[in-house]
Amino acid sequence: MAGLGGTETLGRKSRWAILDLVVVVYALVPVLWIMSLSFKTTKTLTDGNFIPREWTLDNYKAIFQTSEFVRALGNSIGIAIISTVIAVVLGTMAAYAVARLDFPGKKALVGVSLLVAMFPQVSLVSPLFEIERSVGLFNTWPGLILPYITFALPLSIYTLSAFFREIPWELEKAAKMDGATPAQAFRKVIAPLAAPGVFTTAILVFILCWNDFLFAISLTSTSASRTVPAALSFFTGASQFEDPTGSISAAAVVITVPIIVFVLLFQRRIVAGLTSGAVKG
Amino acid sequence: MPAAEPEVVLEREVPAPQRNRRAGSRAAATDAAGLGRARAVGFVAPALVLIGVFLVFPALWTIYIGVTDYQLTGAAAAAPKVVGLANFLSALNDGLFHNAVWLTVLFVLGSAVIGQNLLGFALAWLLRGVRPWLRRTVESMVLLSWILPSTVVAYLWFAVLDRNGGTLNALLGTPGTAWLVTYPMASLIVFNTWRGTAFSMLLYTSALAAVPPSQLETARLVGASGWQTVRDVVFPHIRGHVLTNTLLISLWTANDFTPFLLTAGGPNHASETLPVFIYRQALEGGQLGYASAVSLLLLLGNLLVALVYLRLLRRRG
Repeated sequence: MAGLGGTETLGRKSRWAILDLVVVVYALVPVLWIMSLSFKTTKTLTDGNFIPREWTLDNYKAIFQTSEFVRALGNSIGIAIISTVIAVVLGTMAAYAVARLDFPGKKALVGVSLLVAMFPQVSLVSPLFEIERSVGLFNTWPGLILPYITFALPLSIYTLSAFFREIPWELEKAAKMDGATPAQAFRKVIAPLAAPGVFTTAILVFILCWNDFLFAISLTSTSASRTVPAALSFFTGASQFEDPTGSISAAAVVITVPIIVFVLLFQRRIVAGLTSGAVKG
Repeated sequence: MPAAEPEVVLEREVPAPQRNRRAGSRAAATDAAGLGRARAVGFVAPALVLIGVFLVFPALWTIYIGVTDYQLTGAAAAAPKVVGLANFLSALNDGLFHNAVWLTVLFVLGSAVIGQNLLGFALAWLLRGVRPWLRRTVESMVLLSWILPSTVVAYLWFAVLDRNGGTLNALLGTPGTAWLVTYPMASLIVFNTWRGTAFSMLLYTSALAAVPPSQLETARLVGASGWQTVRDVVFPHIRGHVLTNTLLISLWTANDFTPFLLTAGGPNHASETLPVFIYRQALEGGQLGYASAVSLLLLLGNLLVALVYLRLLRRRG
């Protein structure tokens, strides 16, 4: 009996192993290819070898010496972090209210959030472009931060209210019974319990802002506020006469690394955050 | 700085209004936190204001521009005239618009409704029983392809599909095939299936966890095939999830701008889905009025799909 089960699972296991290998190769080949390109010397760039014959860090040195890239990296980090912090704080406040209370404007908020999921981002580009140019926000940090916050808010309210709903509100009642003020109840009881949800949302929002290309390319015009995804499309290499493939690969790896680190460290939380709203809704 | 805000607001208005403390008649409406309506509105207001200014206002502006002959440059840029439904009418007669609609439908059906849905479900189904580490590895790989910046992803695919020295040509032994030029839509559909499968897979993974194991066991005992089990035992349980997932990925795919990065709509409009069409009309053609009208049509299409979905979802109950 045990032996029979053993051979069956062995057969199934090998089937799975093959399937998983296919998936891993399918997902990984492009990423590894770009990594390999970024370590190749200019001479061996087009030799088609998967593993570089001559390893070099020149591509990385080169991009960090161009002010274009360093500036864009600074912009990316600053803009993504500021947007994330503000979006998560405002989103937490709104989600807490949405999860705990019926109030005027709640339906509007939820309705708008749903509509945003349907709104083509590209159709907002030209109005935002006009608005930002007329009020002087065009090509500035706030000019990207404000739209990012706005686009991230529905997502964060949606995800966070799912988390808040899971926290039994008897807890706040109990805290009040014990004489805690609402502020204390929020700070000492709810905030610690909601922290994982807030953190998850922050990761998602950060990724959203960090990855955006459309706004970054349309609402900026110089390296003063251009982020890396947009700068990448203007990238021509360290010198004018050099094939930019190596430099672009290196730049791509640099902006990919934080995302890979996030996925590896916080995979479970990202998964929970992504599916919580959709599964329960 | 902003992190201190909620507490400040809370402490300023302590103690909470007495009327909100009573045990409420409706559980959801009970103000357990002692927030008070006014304060709740205060909590939501900043988010609403931002959404209003940077989302609703531009959206309304889009609707307004859609009925004008507004252009990026020239006389119509200085003083746009209201032209009523002229933009919508010319869209109906525009061969390029028809082409874009058709390609968008193809793109959504091929890569989202069929590609991501089936691949996502297959992965979730096959990964049910495997060891945690294996599942985690596959999950993180798939997640990565979804989460990477679109510029990077587009660049990765350039490297894979490159005519000379591209990985795919090396693997298939077809040197010199320019995939993005010869088969632009097929490439985009495969690309988007690769890119977006993570969401479907994760959603189906958690949906499958809700299927009672006893029913799966029964199906196995009566000798049901894998397909029969999925159709008769699993599907009734996850029908709602299938619909939600299909709606979300369809909308995302319809609005997706990434095809622009891969093919820029070319060659000769052969891969110009609606978002790419809108972008090119607006920023390359300068026809802001026309582009806005087309975005509205895309939004209407999305709303229509969402309504169909809501109907299907309601029929279940």
